[in-house]
Amino acid sequence: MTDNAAFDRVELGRQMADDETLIADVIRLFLDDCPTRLAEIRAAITAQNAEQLRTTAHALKGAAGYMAAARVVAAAAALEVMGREGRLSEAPEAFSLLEAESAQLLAELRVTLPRS
Amino acid sequence: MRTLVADDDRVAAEILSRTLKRWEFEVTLVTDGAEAWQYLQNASGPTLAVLDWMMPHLDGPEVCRRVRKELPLANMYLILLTSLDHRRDVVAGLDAGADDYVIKPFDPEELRARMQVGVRVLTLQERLAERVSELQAALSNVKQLHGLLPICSYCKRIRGDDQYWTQVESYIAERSEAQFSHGICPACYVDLEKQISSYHKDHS
Repeated sequence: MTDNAAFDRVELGRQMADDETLIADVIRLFLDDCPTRLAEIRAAITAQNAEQLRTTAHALKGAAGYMAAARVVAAAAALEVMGREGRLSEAPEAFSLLEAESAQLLAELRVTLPRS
Repeated sequence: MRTLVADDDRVAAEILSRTLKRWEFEVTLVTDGAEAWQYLQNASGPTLAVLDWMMPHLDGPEVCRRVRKELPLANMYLILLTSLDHRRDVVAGLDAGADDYVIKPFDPEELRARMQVGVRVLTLQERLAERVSELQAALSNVKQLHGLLPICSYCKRIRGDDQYWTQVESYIAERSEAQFSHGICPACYVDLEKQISSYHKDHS
């Protein structure tokens, strides 16, 4: 893993016992789901709904964990804590960071997929 | 081994179910806690369940709580999935009735080892349950020979629950594993000998 890579390919492989078919299928699922998860987080922030922010950020954090995507995990975890503690004023800025990190992650994941 | 995976996240659910299938677990996948509870209520035989902590409708600990309260005799091994920053909640999860927990994202070797513990516990409990039912069957045979038996003071027949008078040996043989070999005891032999010789005397 290079210093600025969005995910750790070795760790991702290890978590799935280096089953390349499973890895590719799961990456596709994540590519599909991530934009929806981000939209749900954005909606929670717009609605100023702390509980919804906590659960939606938690969900993205969990999925990103399986991608071994440390920075997206950290950004989602920060939003989850804001949701739990009701600190919604800080959420828009944290969400911008999460969006940027996610965009980089998705781009890198797409590149790793075998061409179909 | 029959195994339930309950996780509302598609990524986690896919990884879990395919990993467990590769290890030859018989996997059923559900996506919320209410479905998990419904599945477990209808499950018969030993069942392993891997339950995500946070799920819609019922969370993982609540599913564990219901299983332990409402299905106290069910042979189920429950593993909760929790994230690293919720590790402090582990005690609450175990108190709710979980047998074990795994931190997400899970380490495959750790998960496999913990699943094997579950299989071992469920298999032992299953064997124990079989042994208990064998013993109960044996005990019910023995119990039939307990209690107050009405017996005729003269012919020694016993009156059964069906009100018929039965000879002692057939009464016991029907209600136990005992079998009878007929013979004659020394005291009866002497009496019988006397009776035979007096019969001969009277008729000679």
